[in-house]
Amino acid sequence: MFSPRRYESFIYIFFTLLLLFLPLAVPKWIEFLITIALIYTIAVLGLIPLSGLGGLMSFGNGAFLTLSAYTIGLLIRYLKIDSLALLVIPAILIPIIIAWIFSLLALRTRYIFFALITLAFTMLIYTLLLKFYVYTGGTDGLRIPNIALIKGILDLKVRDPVLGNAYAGYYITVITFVIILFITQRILNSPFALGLAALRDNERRAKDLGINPSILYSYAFVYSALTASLSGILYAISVGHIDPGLAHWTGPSAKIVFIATLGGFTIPGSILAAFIYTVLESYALKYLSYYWQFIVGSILLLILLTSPKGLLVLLESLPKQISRTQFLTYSKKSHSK
Amino acid sequence: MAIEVATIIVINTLLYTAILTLVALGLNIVLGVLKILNQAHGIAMALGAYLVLTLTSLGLPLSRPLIVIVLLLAGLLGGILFASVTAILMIRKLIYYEAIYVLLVTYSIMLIAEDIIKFIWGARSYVIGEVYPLFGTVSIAGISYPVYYFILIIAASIITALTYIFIDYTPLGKMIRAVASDRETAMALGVRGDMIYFSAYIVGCLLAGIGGALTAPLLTLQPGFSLEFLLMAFIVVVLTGLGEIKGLPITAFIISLMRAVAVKFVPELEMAIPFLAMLIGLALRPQGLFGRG
Repeated sequence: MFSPRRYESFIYIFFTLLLLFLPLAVPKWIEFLITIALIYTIAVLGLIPLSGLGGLMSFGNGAFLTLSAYTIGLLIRYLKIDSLALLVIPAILIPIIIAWIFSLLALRTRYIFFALITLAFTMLIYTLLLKFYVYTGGTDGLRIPNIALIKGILDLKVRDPVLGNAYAGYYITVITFVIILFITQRILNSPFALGLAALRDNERRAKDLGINPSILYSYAFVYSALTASLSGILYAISVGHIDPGLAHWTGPSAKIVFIATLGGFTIPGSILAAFIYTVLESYALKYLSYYWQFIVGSILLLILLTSPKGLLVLLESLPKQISRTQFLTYSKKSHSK
Repeated sequence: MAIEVATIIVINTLLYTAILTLVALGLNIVLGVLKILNQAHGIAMALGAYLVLTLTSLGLPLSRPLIVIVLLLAGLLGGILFASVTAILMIRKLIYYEAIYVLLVTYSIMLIAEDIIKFIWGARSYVIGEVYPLFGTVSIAGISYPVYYFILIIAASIITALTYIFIDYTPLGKMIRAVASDRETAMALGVRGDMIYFSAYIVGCLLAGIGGALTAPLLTLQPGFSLEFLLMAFIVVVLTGLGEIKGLPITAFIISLMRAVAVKFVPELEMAIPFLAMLIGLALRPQGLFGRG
């Protein structure tokens, strides 16, 4: 019999191999676009358990992305650390710890209130970075120099070419993406995912069955913060410049939520949506630099209004496991006060 | 010294409360009736402000009463323009979607509308300099303030009062309240849904448009300027309670006071304090200060 599940793994393996060897064939700008798309995908994949399964939409990703990017930027600026391996540890730990503490507060709320409280948190980070410009560089942002992977042992720098014109940051991004893809895949097939789905469908019943909502939700929230902080690190080292705009609600936060929605909160959907979004945005910027928002906005509006389940319509024939995870239903408004 | 500081804080607070109440009230009426948290609400405000720019640059012989009429007219026009373009989408389609999904749709409407404004008025920044000199200045506790500040506060208060009278005492206002508190029951009792949705939406947009027009002389008009007001209005709406109209000016006053005090004493936290208030308010009382349940 035809087994779609096995098929899906083959697609991912093929996709990974393609990503690894693509730099040999394509010019550098395409490589950069792929890097950006993968950075978004990583953050979106982390959002799937919380938003897709748990039904809590978080706008906090931008905040954690910015926190880790600024951790790197500030450590380089003040402590003169110039080895990526040393920077990665605080840049992951700090956002995760803050996310866990914040989750104690934020998880008292549900539905739209959770979206709003995470939005407030993101904007709080934005205003703090903006107003304490003496330390953070304000709107000018911070420049991230081309740092070595491990100073002294592996002196390869992140924006130096490794293979043809492929730079090291690209491979780091691809490897991180594959790891997160694997972990997310495992999470979606775990009892944890079923618990989250139960909480989304009916929290009171799930509680009576012995599921602890605050523990499950906080794990999912911290996982989304973890992936967001990985995106932040990758963004900082690949782009080489960070500014507070990363934490503005119209920045990555909104984009990540957008891509997740377009992707219908599934793994293949998210990958597809991230690539389409990145290409769309950069081409709109190229040909209509003044009016790129208009183009992006109208296409997104069109997609949102015509197919509320996202680009998933295009992937309707893909494995069954996907439809199990497409959870946010947009049919009738369940607005609870 | 202390008196001067106190006067500055009081006047800034009142000024900001007046503007914020207009914008947030419109936002919350729409939210209460249509259950749509409209991220594009700031566009109505921006349209009002930009229309003031267009009307004042026509070269009319501007006198004091005329400028007030021009401001109000620009506000009404901006509100109606925005409402008429977006109403069908809002009432026929978005009303049936889930709250978070609505956030995304209205966000993309905002992206589109921002660029249309950029297309019409350009990306440069404008200052409307014709209004201040007409009214002169007044000196309070040794500091001179433009008289226009007080005109704005009074005008905004009158409009807010009129809105509350409309909502509380007119038949249409009562129907709007009925739909806001329980849509199905109100419909079952014979309230015509479409009409109520439309009138509530128009009222909300008009308030934002007038808010934008009255504020225009104080601002530097540039693309995206309305975003800051929209965010503050968001905070006021969330702290008051989603869809709660009662007590909204009080919340607006509290937020404005916090901001005015912060600007004076800890300017670094000026923007952060309202968001902190929203965060704590949501965590402790998600239904809002004046919300039920």
